[in-house]
Amino acid sequence: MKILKVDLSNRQIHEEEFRQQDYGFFGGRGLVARFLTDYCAPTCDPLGPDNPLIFATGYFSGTILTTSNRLSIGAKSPLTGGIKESNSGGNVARAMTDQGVKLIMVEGQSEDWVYLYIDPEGNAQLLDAAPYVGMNTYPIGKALREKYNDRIAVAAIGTAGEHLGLVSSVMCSEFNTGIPCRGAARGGMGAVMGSKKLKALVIDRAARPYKITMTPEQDKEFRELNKKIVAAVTSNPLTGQTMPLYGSAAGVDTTGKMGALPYKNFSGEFTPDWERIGTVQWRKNLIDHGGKSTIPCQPGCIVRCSNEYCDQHGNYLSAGIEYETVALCGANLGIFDTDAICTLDRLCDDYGMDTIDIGCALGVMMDQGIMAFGDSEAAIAMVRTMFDPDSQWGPILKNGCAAVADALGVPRQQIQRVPVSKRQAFAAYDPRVIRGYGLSWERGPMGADHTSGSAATYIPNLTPEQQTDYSLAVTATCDCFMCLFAWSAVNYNKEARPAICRMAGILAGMKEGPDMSMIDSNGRAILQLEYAFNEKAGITHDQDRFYGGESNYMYHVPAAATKSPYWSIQKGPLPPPPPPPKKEGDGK
Amino acid sequence: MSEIRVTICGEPCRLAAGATLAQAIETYSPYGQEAVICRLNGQMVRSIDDTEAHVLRDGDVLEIYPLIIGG
Repeated sequence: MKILKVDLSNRQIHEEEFRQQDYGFFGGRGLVARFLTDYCAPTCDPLGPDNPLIFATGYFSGTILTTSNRLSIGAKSPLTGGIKESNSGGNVARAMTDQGVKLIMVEGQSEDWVYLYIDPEGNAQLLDAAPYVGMNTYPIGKALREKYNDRIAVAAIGTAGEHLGLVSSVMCSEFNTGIPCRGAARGGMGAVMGSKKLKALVIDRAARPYKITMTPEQDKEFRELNKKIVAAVTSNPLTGQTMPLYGSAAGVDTTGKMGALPYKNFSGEFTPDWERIGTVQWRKNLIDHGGKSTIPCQPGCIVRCSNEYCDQHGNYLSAGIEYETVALCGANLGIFDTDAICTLDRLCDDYGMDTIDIGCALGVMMDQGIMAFGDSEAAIAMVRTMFDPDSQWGPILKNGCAAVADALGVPRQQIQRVPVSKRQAFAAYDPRVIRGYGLSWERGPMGADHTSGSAATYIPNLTPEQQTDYSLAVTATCDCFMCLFAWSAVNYNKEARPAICRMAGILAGMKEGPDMSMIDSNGRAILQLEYAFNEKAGITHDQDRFYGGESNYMYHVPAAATKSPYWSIQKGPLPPPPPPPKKEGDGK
Repeated sequence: MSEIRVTICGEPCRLAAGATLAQAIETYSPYGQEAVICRLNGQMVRSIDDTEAHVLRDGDVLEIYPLIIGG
């Protein structure tokens, strides 16, 4: 395998050998952490030439392990000011692997817009992107497929990245369809790409796909172990049944019932009528309108949670619609019209924006009376004004929820109704109800990023702080290996967990092992790098607080489901929960 | 009483008297032990704090939901 080092300042492309043994079990997020540690000054301007942009494939990329072809994109974040890795499905990572490319590091800045093209023979070139400047991700994907062929893989920015929007994403093409609906959306990686005037990464189908080398014995053992992974994923009711049918949008049913679904800017109230965007109605609308489900976003995925949604007239609207978008561009805004939610998703995908941060930002604006909750037309119109210099709010919205709150003067209020941690907007779980999310968002190196860790579940014999650290570490290893969805079935399965560890050992050439502690230790090694980077960038655990510090509403306003405000680790032990309601017959 | 009868995910189940929520999840969760959140008798159980502390009682109704992390 090789590393491509691309210097945009002098337009030089340099190849180096990639030796996995130099990086342990690191792939994806681990490689991002390692390369940023080695090549990025933590105090650099994130939108300046000294911030390298990393595209890294996973540890297992190119093997038969399901969902192993995720792409990690990383840099110093212009949103949080700290280290950032954002990962995406789609076909880009597999295309890189087929070309024998483990990692691409883009340094410097170009004077003119360019795109990086890797041809079928593996030659990398910087080409003029002038014809594509001003295009959003759908049109540029179409134009590039017309120029080359339908089998190319594309990671591109839209106008949001060109305008250096701090919550702009890099949109990746989906397997088979080429639709740019898979986003490395969190932390403003699109702005970093835009600052370099790099419009797209385009990878053509390799003439001679790279093959991972294994002995026949290793190959046989790897395949046998993989059967346990497949069994775990397909037998788990979530990844084997629910997600293929409904996608991650099925999460609405769980959080809706639990009172964790954000409603009207994380008001803490139960969402009335959450069923209107719940699985039954969601699927009915999807199918009735002529949409599709059970779509793999990357080659080899057996979860197949992606989807395509058409409007009520049967016209294609958007694809790859996820729980976070349905929740934050839906219930969080008081919007329960799936056509409107998918219109917001499409706009964000096309511009190249994070639907999470935009959904939260619109929620804050509605809460402050800029628009009314439930006014989907106003929300859609607001997003459309994002690049209109004459718009009062649009150009602020492109920088996300924290920027909107700054502009609104929310910090001057006594209680700050802003769902943000480390300047990144909350994912769609109320931390007063699922406290572990809040702990991860306060404590984690990437702010309120659900994909970088979520201590959402209970681990025996550990304090909440230890559970949070453990969860963050395990998720960091997941981000090296495979999709979080499949991982949820593998990591908690008694057969599959040791199997994936051994599969990692086989790739490393180990005759046996490693034992399962590798999952924890590998993740902690990544976190150590990330925390060290952040500390040098001036971000320490002293700042582990939501937006506005102690005056954030999460610390004061109780949620209906728990009758409790959010309780951070810094406050000490959680008070006992209120007694359960008396059942019939109690006290007799 | 050596055992209690509870309802978990809509199904009648039996557990040893004194069984905790964590033991109930370990025994009966269709989604595994960790990637779940629960509601006990209609009330959210705070996810990472007090699972050990909850001792189930006869007649309790436990709902277990898979946690979906999707973005």
